[in-house]
Amino acid sequence: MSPATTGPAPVVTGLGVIAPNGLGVGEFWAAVRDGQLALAPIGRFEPNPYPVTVAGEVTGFEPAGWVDPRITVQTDRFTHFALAAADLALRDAALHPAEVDPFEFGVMTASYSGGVEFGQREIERLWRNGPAHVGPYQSIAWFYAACSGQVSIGNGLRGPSGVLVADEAGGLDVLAAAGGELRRGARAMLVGGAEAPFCPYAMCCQLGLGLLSTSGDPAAAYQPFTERAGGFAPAEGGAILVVEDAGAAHQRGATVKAVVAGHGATYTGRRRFDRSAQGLLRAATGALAEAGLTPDDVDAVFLDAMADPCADAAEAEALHLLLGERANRVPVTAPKAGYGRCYAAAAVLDVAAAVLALEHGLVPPTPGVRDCRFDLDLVTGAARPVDLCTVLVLSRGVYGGNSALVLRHPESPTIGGV
Amino acid sequence: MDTRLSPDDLAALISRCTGVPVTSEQVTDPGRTFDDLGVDSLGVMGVLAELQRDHGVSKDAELLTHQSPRELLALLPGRA
Repeated sequence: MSPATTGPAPVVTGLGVIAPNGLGVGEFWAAVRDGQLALAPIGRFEPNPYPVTVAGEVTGFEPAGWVDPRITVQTDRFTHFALAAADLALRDAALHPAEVDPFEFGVMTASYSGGVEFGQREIERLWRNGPAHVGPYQSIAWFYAACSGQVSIGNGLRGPSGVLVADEAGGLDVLAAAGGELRRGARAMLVGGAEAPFCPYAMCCQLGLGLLSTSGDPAAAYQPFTERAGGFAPAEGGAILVVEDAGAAHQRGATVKAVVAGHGATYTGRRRFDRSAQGLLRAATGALAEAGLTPDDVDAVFLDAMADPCADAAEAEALHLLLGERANRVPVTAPKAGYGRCYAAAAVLDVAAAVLALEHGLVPPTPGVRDCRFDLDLVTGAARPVDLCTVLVLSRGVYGGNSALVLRHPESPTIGGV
Repeated sequence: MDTRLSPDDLAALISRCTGVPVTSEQVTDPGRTFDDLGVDSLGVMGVLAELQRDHGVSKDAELLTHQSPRELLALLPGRA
């Protein structure tokens, strides 16, 4: 779509985060900004006979206080995260759902794992005791759409809603999907994703990817872009954003945190990270074109950071192809190295971090990483003050999706929009 | 198979299966339906399945949300 045919781009007015490094944007941003390490030995299930022992777990989160008890029994942990994050996002946006026509307020989430912990519990009952022991809530709890459904029911939203099961890059695509609904007449959308993939069944599914770190040292488990890159640490958690039609946000006097200016997505095939250089390049070029911008406008990049040697090299190559001679001068970062890779919610957490970076004029560091093996300006150590107008967020799926999202500071002149 | 179930036991079972806090007074009140208590159809299905499995309620028994826990008590063997 050419910029001329789009209206004002959608705007982010609220952030809700439930992450291994903090509950709520206050804790999350402080941890991201300071490059805190939130990886630790897996404690969610015991014993853990698997080779992956370090992960980013959300500790100190109990559904009580966040989730209605009758919803708690019929939902998986990933939905508890989504409900809590949605609640935080609405509060952050100072938006009460009742202020919006319910048919103009929808929910769009991305999912990778679904309700696996709940599912494992019910499958255990099936095999140990028989079909009569499987509870009826299994039918809705495992389902990818459970978060969108429960968030819409819980908040009385009846607008356009759905779930994207589009690999990890779906965490960016979901913002484009929400932008489409806003263009078609919705006023507000809750957008994001959540994952809770820590039970033996889910762990076995992830082991098959062959991409997870088997390091037992939390400080060394997730080292993207270094010589020691040996896979990523998985994570649980999620983020929900309030994204509004720019006119609607202005009308209600909302504080705009960022503009969702452009999105692009490509597919380059399962386990073909060599091809993802072109895939990411084209996704990013498309996103910038939709925003009415060029690569010269990019002030910082939030990286996918798979921590697979081939995937890291492809991402570095994409940046060189995209940014040309600026490639080693544009600050790039991977905050998720501090708390893990949260599948479909990973990119949503990156978007939350990027929005906060725009707000604070700081590019946060890549925690625990000191030595980048590529000719890139990877921010390490302390957060770097940068006058940020335009931030690019990159995401790849483990099965071949490549997506890019362009976020802009609300005071930037904006041409395009998703 | 334990077929004896007091109103207190049934209230605890409903609470556990559905997440809705229910008292023994509520389960013996003939005018109080599952709808009134805020228990949805899947919740009722789960409660009935457990009673059929562990407490001798007939496999043919049916229960809908406009019915009451009191009617469910009556389905238990030795109580009809």
